[in-house]
Amino acid sequence: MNRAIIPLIMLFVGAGLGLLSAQYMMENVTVASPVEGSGWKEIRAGQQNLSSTYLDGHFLRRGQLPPLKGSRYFVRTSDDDGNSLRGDCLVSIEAIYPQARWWFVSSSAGSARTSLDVSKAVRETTGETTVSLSVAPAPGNWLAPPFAGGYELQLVLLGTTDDPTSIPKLPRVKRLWC
Amino acid sequence: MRRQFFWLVTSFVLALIVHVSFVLFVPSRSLSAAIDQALGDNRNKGFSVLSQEAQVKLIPFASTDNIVGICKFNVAKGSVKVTAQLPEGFWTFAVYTIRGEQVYAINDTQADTNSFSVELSRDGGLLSKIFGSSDDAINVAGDDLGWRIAMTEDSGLAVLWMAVADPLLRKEAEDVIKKTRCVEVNG
Repeated sequence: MNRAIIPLIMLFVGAGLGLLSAQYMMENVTVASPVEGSGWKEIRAGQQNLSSTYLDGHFLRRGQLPPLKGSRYFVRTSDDDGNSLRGDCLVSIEAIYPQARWWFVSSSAGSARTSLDVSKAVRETTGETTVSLSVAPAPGNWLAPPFAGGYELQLVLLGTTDDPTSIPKLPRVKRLWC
Repeated sequence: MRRQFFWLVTSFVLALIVHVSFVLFVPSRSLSAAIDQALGDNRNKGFSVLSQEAQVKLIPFASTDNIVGICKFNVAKGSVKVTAQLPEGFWTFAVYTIRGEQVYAINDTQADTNSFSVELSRDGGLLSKIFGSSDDAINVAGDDLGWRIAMTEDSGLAVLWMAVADPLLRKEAEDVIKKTRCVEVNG
């Protein structure tokens, strides 16, 4: 009896490990390099290496296309002080990069997503933009997270004038109250 | 002992096969299903401008104010020609394989025109077939009107994304983009 069960268990474990490791790699390994001193992480699109397969898979399995080559794609789940981003708190994204031809900020939780882009945002006299994130309406540029709970913040820059290998000036993310 | 070692190795090999199969096939099937869902009844109409809800789901950097048009194509039986018409503004045209690999992209400043054509055909190179590298899928020939792109896979997706500076002008811009065609070319 044992002679038959052990191989079956081994095969089952092997298949399970293969499946779980694939899902883990696509979920975690692809979220690329942290941007030093900013709290943002950059997902580098369009690279031709092994990790790009997992990176593409990260988006594809959600039914999404990977980011465009040449775009800069940043994500984070905490503010500058390390607090988790939560919809029931008022969070301010300050000094959004004004040199990109187009930028896009979104908050997502699961498949739900809300967003704001440069076409709807009001700029300050300095050319920079500040966006408030909270479930309750806030004055100025306001973005409501999908839920009162935790969310991920994304920043996408397209048509940046900087060298694509350099890190652009990224906005600060501050919790104002909770 | 030898028997246990055999099953341990077999288990490891199976894990590897499942891992690679999942990474290679499951995400592309999810994307294909998402594209079909986004296209809805327009699945066989060539180029289609997506609804605002569908574009937000499919493109991770798209907002409801953008305009996104897509064409799901297959170059197994012949070339496909995309003839794009765009209004003035910031736009990007990109070509992806059905595995999500971006093989080509151009924007308004690079193209320096708002009307162009792109011919998509299958790359017949043996090395490309073996290795599936997108390095060969670049602009291999060009003329005044457009570009020719060699695809490393049969199925793919052409995507037109446009940022609309003023939401009031969205309808006008959409009408221009709707003139874009994506048709099979015989031969």
